[in-house]
Amino acid sequence: MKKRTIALILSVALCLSVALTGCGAGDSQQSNPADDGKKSLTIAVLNDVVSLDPAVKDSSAEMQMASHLYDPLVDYDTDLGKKPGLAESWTVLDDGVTWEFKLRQGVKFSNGNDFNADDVVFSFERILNDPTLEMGVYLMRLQEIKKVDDYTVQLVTKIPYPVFAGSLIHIMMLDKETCEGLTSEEIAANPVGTGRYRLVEHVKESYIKLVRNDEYWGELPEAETVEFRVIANAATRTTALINGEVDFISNIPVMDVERLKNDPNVQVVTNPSLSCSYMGFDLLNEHGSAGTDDPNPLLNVKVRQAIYHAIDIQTIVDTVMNGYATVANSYMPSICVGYNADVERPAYDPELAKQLLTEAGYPNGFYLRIDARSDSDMNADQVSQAIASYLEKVGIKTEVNLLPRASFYEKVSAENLQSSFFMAGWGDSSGEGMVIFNDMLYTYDGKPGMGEGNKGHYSNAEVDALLDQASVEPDQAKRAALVEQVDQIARDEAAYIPLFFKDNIFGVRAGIHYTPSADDHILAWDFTF
Amino acid sequence: MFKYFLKRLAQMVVTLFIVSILVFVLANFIGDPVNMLVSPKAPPEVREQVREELGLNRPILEQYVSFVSNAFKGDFGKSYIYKVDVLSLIAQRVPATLELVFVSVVLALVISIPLGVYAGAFPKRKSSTLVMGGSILGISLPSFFIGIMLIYIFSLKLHWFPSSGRGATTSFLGMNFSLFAPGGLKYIILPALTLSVTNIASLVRLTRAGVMENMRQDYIKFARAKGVSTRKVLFGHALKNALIPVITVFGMEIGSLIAFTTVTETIYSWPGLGKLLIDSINSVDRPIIVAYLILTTVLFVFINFVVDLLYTVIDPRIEFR
Amino acid sequence: MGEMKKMGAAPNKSLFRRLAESEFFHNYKRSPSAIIGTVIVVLVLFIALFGPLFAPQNPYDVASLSLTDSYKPPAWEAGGDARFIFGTDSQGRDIFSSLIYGSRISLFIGVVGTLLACAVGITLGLISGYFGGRVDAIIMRLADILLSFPDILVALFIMTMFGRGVSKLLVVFTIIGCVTYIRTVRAEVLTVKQMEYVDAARVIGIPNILIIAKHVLPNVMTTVIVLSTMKVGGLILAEATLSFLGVGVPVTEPSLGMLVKNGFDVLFSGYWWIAVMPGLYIMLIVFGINLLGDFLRDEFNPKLK
Repeated sequence: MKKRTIALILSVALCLSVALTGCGAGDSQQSNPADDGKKSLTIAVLNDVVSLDPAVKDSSAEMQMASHLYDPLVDYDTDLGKKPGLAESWTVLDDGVTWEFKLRQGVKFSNGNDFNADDVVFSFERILNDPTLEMGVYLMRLQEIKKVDDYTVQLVTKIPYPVFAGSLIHIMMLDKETCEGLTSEEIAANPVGTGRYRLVEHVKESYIKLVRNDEYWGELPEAETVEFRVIANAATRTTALINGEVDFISNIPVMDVERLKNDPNVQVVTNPSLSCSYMGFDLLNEHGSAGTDDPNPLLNVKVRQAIYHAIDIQTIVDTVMNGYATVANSYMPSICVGYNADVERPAYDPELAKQLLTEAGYPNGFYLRIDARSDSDMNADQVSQAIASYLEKVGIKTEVNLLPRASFYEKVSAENLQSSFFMAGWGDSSGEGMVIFNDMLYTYDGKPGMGEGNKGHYSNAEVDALLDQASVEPDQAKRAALVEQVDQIARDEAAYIPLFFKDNIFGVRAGIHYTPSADDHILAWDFTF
Repeated sequence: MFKYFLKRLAQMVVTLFIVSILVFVLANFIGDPVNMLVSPKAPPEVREQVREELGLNRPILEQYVSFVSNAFKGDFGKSYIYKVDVLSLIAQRVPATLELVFVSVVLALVISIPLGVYAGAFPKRKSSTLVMGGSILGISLPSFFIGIMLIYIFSLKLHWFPSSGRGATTSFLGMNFSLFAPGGLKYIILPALTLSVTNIASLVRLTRAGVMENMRQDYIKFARAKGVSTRKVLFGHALKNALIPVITVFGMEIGSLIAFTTVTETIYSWPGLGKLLIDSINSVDRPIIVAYLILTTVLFVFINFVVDLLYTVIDPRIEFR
Repeated sequence: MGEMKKMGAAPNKSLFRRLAESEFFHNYKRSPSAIIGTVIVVLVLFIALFGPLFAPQNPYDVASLSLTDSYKPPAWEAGGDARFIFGTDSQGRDIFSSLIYGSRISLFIGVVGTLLACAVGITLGLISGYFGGRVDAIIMRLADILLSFPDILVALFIMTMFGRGVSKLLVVFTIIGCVTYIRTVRAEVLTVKQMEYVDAARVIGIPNILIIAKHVLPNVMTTVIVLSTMKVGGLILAEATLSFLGVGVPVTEPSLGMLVKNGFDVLFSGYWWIAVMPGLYIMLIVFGINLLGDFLRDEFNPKLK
């Protein structure tokens, strides 16, 4: 009868598990997006936003959410072009530094207040006066802002800067009457914006629910309710999409794509992203190739060129990235002003690499350490190991050092560079090669605004001069020519090694049509049913 | 007795003190939290401002003192990443871990005790040897591997259960549990099973050993001679006595359970305390790490203190100095 | 029974003969689990020691890898390559070779960690038991504190503070692992201290602690052996778990646990062999050790059951 007891327990357990799977399968319909006639959208995101105050953080998740609730003066057109937002038009006055914006009339905030110049001045001054608001980074060249009349404002820049309007795309307009005197947390707790959607509910680390603003001044999006659900783990997101619990997922790991493509309920949409993955060199230190006291071999241009030629980036893209990336020949994505599709990227040629190394005085190679992030979304851990393999084949003894985010940025920082050779990423949505190169190639000397991303301390006076010229060049074609020159100089000197632009990989429920946005943000109005 | 109680209490306090210093001092050496809070593009002045705000520029002693006094109030600061009060963040995660541990314990008991009793009652049978062999296998497996195999078989291949995440939750006693929500159970089965396997293995062995030892005792033989059925003998007498060491060990195992949830929650992306810890370690979220360490220390020291006291109550033979 | 017959035999038999005729060996021969355990352990040790000689590839030699060989499934599946029996990982490393090289690290940590814990534990136990008083109190208090926490948690926290690395792991394992030895040896020392012959030796003037050691060690040897066997398995598992969580060995010296971690990321995409193979091998190793350990414990110390 012990056997009977055991048999009894086992059979009960079996029944239980069958019942569970049974009711589990049935219940998955309950967690589907609501079918109550409303067009609703459930989007899975990696992490929650830190704050709903649009000025606090300069990062994708926050800017993406801010675009739903608020509007800027200038907005994106297709392919990172610019079009009117809350500003109907703008011109540069003759002095070259004053920008006059004519504001749209008849726009209301979600609480009924009118939108006018007071709100614009408030929104900008707030950022100018508080250095902890990260969006200040985009207003570095702003000198002051003046109200001309209720629907006209003037922004004065410190020096002439023809692409200034583009910097304003991420500056959202707040309602002065509501927000004046409030702390950032208070503003975030009760967002009042002019945007396409209004906040319904925000449960931290869980979800954000939005409802459409039917009085929106522009074109109404199709989705009437939107939920951004936080699902941090990629596998969970994928499962949620397959089960129909969410309508959309992003950041799909490259090795998962084939599996998703085979699912009839799912469409996979890809587009090239703006995130450039690259290798940076320590061009600052005379000595110390990561841990040794030898002279820094990377200061020799032939050594850098040798490394460039030693890496077979196409194979890396095909295998490690499973084909979901595009080989890069520059920091600039292809839609940038200044991009030239015809340039020749130094080819994969290990023999040439060995020759260059010998010519540089390193016939037996040298020791090099690659610092890369262990937790990057660009497969940095795999890519850097692959690169190590190629470098070893031409005689460079390579060690791969994987670090989590915090430790990585400690070592790879322009202020205090402790890395010889690192793999990093950079993304920029300005659409201007000049802006990118100002960040990445301009000499870094601690001043805000220039060379912020130039962690390796590349410095070339000619490049600086050309970029200075481009910054004040209003004619797009002339600007492009200057930028192309800079690009070529950097390539000839092997200032850095551009690797690839990874693809954005999205999964969309069948029956919904999604058009990816050029700035890599996921926006509810890019969906049609 | 009272003197003993005081002594143990004093020891508890000393332990906590030492650990708190260790935790606090050592936590100062993991990375620079400023990098986590500001974008890489931020200029040095902003970084300085953030350092000031976080109090990172004060002398360590001062930071420690304010840390301890805050800890007593339950204020462990704000998480660097989530920007919310650490204690409430941890409290938010407790239900997830609790229900996981609960289901795992239930599973372990339901599976292991009958098996152990069976193997103990009939130690010579082939099926018993199988059970014992299986249990050795169970303790040889790293829990993360069990999780992987379970996911692979039951989720990827058979599609019976989801491979990760936690189901929808419903509110119960003011906390969010997924146990009672429709469809919630299917998410918890695999993680709970993973967590329980090692315990099942050792519990089976313990129960078997206990049953075997007791079966040999005289009083069992007398009961049988009296004519009491084997079943009554087994469950009435042997099991009860066998269970005492089982319960003792089991009580101590609860501690490891909490430790092992770290691995299980990581594998299944179960949003509980264990996952919070690992995520915080990886993203250098100091306030959470420190709070976690302190809280677990308090918990374990307290548990041990209580267990020790209970021992003296239960078994007067135990000497205490 | 064999013993009975030889009661009257000469006392100076060789160790080997005594072993071969002992009750221990008699039981050993008849226990299938002991034999299986031994076979597994010997096999694993052999592979770890001599594996590199016949491994098809040295997966740590980055220059020998070829990206085009990546993600190949095991040779018996469609798309598999006969060169790579168990398939390859994301960098084109042969899984079979990785098992061989990875097991070396796992075993190294397990065995050396145990030896260190044993040495430190026995020493501290001797000191604690012999000197008594303050020293004893401190050591025992520390041991109690350590015991009140689950091993993995302590290891996790320490490794988080100090970073990854084989040497750090060994330090952590020594600290956590020595406690059991301390207690066992100390208990024995306390017993022996009371014995008369110790007093007698003291009168003659022999250094005390050596006397103690000489009398204590043989008595605890069997317990120590049993404890150590189980501990090796335990440490191998612990290291695997820590590496899986990311706080164990560094990426450049992957142990079996680290290999599982690497494979876990792509498990859900269907590339199962990268995680499953190392996991199975860990299981095999620890299983063999546990079988052997179980047998030894049953033989030497039924009380420990």
